[in-house]
Amino acid sequence: MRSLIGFIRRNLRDIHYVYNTLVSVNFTGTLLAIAVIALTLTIPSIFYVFMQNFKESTSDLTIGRNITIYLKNDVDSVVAFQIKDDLQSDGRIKSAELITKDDGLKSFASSMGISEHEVMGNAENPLPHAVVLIPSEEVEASTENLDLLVKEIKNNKYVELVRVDRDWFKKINSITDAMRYITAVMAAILLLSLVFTLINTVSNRVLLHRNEIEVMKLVGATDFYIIRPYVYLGMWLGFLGCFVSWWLGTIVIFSTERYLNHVAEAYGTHIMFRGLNFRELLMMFVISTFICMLVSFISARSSINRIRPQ
Amino acid sequence: MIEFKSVSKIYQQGQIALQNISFKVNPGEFVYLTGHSGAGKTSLLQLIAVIERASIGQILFNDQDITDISLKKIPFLRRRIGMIFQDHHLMMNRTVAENVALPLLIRDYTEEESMDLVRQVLDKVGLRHKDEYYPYCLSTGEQQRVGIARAIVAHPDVILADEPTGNLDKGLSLDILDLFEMLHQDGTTVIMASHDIDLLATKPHRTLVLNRGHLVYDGEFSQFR
Repeated sequence: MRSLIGFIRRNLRDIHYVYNTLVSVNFTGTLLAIAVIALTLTIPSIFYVFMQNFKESTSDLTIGRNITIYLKNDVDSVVAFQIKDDLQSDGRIKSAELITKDDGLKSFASSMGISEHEVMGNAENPLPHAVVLIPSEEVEASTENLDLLVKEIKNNKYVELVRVDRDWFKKINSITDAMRYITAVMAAILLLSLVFTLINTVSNRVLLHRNEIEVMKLVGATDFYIIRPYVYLGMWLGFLGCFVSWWLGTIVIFSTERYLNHVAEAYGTHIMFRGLNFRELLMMFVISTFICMLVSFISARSSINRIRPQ
Repeated sequence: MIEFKSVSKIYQQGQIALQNISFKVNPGEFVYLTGHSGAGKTSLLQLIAVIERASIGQILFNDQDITDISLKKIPFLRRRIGMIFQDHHLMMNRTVAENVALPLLIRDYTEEESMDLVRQVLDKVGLRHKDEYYPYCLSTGEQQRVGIARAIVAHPDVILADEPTGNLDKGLSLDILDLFEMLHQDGTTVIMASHDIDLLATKPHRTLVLNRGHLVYDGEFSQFR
């Protein structure tokens, strides 16, 4: 119990020492270091938040996941209607629409800007009847269920080809992947800048207190004792940097929400922006504080090791 | 207590600071270390405090070989040594009491325990009334007393004083010497380096005389003169 109280007292004394000797003597430098750490954390965290919001928003777009069924060429329109009705009555399917071969031709000719006769001449229409399905939300939510439905449809003897429109999702996934990659790369680069900034800050503080450290070494202070205040300095810089970054990120995210929603509206969706949740915030604080402590420890240790008392 | 066995110190530039030095200091002894500037006095004290390492030979501290002592053990060895310097080595951004308390704080004494001991030792050096002053507010002699207070506060086995009166006038120097004498009377081992023969003559003790890195005399001060 006594040693625990001693430990707490010692640490409180260190924190007091950190403020008195490492922070207050170079307050501007400390603020600059906090600003650099805050900016370093803000940029990847903003990207992360945008990415999370983008992912959540695009998950709503699964409603557009169509299944197109191309029937065999010899299937006549009566059978095609029957197939459409059968599918329509399936609980797993939200809606089914038959596009007859004539409708298909019309649509094709219209997209080309010419008449149906100009497309085909006297030749027979080669297009098959097609049924466009929109699966129910339960099926959409599960790739397994969707695959099962597609497999069942494929087993129908009148079905030639089943195509699931996954292109849109592939695009979204590739955009998300790219954003994730950019975030990771940016975070890594900024982390390096944070490390260098901290190394510089801590080394400067050590140099500023060179005489004091020499005296400490002469009276028998261990390296750990001398390093400890610098580790606390790193801890505070990391914590405060993260705190500033949190607010900065929140301001940036919510101030850009309106503009990003203009873009989202063009794609028929709306993005409900949310900042970092408690778990993510806690992680950010822990990681920032830990990294700053670790870097401060390494930097202080190497700088202090080089100081030899005279 | 402290024993040098054929110790030499050669710096990287090839400069020989000490050559084949052998002597022994017993517990409770008061030993002067004298010689001209550059004779090797500071180097010898630095070897005891492991600020420098011996190039050749063996150094024993309380029968423990400290010649190749590991880096991790050095702080613990230095806690058994009180060091006093000509330029005091005080922390100017800390008060007198905080400076003196430093050796106690690194030994994990509580604030209250430290301050009790600090007050006692400041009484001893006559600076109790200036415990809240910053060193730059003190005279050179007072700063030296703070240095002495810091060196003795944790009751070290030995006091190493390197030209402690170097910057002081005759009167202050004698005061400081009186302080060392008092510590010696209390049973502390004292090794004091000084080139001021006249000062040492006022309170003669065993004297080691160095000349260009060689130990040329080891005996009573009166016989040396």
